[in-house]
Amino acid sequence: MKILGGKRKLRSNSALAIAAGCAVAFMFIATIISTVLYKQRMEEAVNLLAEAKYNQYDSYAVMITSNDDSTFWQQVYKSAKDYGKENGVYVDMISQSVDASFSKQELLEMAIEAGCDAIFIEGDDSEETAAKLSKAKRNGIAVFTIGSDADLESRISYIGANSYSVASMYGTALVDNVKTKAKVMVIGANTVNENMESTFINNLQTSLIGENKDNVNLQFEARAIAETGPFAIEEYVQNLFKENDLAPIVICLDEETTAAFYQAMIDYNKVGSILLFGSDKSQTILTGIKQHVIVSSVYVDAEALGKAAAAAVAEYRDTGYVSDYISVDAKLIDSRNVEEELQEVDSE
Amino acid sequence: MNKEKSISLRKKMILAFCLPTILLFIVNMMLYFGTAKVLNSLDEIYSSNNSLNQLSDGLESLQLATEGYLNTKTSDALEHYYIKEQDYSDLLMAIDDNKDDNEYRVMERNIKRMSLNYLELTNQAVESKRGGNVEKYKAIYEEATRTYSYIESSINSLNNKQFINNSKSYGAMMGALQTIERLNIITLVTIGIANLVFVVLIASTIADPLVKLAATANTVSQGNFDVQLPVVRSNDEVGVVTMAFNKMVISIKDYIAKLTESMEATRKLRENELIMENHVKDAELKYLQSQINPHFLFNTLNAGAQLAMMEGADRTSNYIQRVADFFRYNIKKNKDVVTLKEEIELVDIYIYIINVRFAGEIQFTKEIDEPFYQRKSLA
Repeated sequence: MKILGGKRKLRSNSALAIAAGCAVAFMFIATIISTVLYKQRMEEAVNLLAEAKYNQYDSYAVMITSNDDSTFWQQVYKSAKDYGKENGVYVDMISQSVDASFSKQELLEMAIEAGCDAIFIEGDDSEETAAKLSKAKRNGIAVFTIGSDADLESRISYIGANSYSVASMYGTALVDNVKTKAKVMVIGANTVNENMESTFINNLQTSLIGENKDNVNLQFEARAIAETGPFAIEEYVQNLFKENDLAPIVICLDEETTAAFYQAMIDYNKVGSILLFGSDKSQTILTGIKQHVIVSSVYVDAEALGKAAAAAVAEYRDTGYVSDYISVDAKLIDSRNVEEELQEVDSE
Repeated sequence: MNKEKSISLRKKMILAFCLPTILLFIVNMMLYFGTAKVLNSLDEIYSSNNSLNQLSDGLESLQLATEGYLNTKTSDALEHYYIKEQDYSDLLMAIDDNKDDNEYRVMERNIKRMSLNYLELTNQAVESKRGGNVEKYKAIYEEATRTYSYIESSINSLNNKQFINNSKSYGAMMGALQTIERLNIITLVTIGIANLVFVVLIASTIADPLVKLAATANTVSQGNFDVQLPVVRSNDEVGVVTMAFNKMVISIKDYIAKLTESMEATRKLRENELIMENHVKDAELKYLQSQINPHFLFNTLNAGAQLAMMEGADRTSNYIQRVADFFRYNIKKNKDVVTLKEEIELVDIYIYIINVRFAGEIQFTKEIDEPFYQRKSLA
């Protein structure tokens, strides 16, 4: 046999036969390899479509707050969800599941219709909420208020920071920073209404009693942003600045208001002329504290809050009882510990 | 000679053609079934979306039917409502009430629960309408409508999320399909090339000995029996033919050698025969010669001469005497050295005899110097 232009001759017939055998072996090996690879690929593909096995939960809890998208509530939700996963509680923030945006009342109604086992709701004092929570209770749904309390009749427990201790933290902050007589504007939105602000101011004043210095005289004014809807808070704050309806000391009682006021102070060049005390913890607020635009912020430990909420449901499910009030720590951030907090936020 | 185990030519050829065909067939079947399986799976990928679409349509139909009845309160509308309600209930059966720790499963559960509530509300609304309780049915209908919007949103959101998920799965499956196709093409090409090599090799193992055999046969046909005979390496048909050919060539060679030998022997024999014949003829001649007694001849001729003389035939007597002399001299000449004179004398005698035959017509003259008469020579 001549191959390769006649330059090579295979002289031996047995060499040819061996080569033929090798070709056959090669074909078999190629077939086997391709079969194995093919099976692997098919299995991978089929596994994709295979019905996944899921863990089972015992209780289904829905979380509804005034601002589900805020950093704070997202942290609470994540913490509650993680803790709940290990304890058979599935914590769901249904506003995140549906594409359309529903109001708090609508979400509450959805939760009741869906027949959940528990509801975490940021309390407010609207009648509608109270009516719905009452309906929930009638349907056998365990209602827990978080962050802010409401409707003592229908709810089983309140999980949050002690409002007095929160107020006294602000008091301490005020005392540390304010040396003269001044007007203090207290602004809140969403769940923070005038009643709550009044309560807050009372608590604050009470906490200041012991700390009072002679030359510090504070006058408090409560402003509750009643408008709801998109950008309502930002527009309200902008109006304050445009109309120069400001006070030398401002306390914002929620994250959105704090952030809006902080940004407005920079935009309107009021840094240094207004002492801003904020609420909650977010990247923006921490940056504001670092920049000395915001003096300090009091926040409730979101992680602790979420965990405590999930734990409360689990306990109630397992034992049938849970404390009426579960306290969660509040913390103060100012220029002394802002770096630490920033590092924590970055690492998340 | 290294002989392999005997695989017959037929088996070799069958092997050469069947084996690769079978392998190619297997690979093709693999591709076919694999692709069919993947295509089937592809069909299933969007099944969840299909069911949700059906659910959404069913829900919308039910809402419209409810509204329709509440608007008109006709029996047709009522029947339509019951049909749509049943349809929707049937669709709901496909959704499990589960406790799976998964976002989509939870959404399904919620849709089911809300839908069950919704069905109850629509039933109550219809019953209230039938009962004539206007305020009640309106309130219930409003609640039902709100529930409807919640369910619809949930279905849409789940549909979208699952669509994204399913599209990823679809992409992955398409990727798998492409990989399988590529794998198959590579395998087919590889096996095709290997098959080609295999067939060529097998053909060579069959053809190579045949070619060598043909070349050798050609050389032998041109008369060269000393050609190197092809080596027999297998016991198949070609091997058998080669072996037979080799034996044939050797046999022919031997046969020719023997033939040559025998021809040589025959030639020698013939030569000897001829020599023998010659010898025999010589002997015969000598025998015959020896049979002629010279004395008898002379005496006979002398007697004849005397008789002639007595009868007065002088010439005849002379003639016979001259013949006797002639023969006497011929016998003699075989033995002795003779002189020229004697030779001339013989010539004279011969001329005399001839002239008797030809009546003196032969004229013979000679001129010889005297000294030459005594010259001697062999007879």
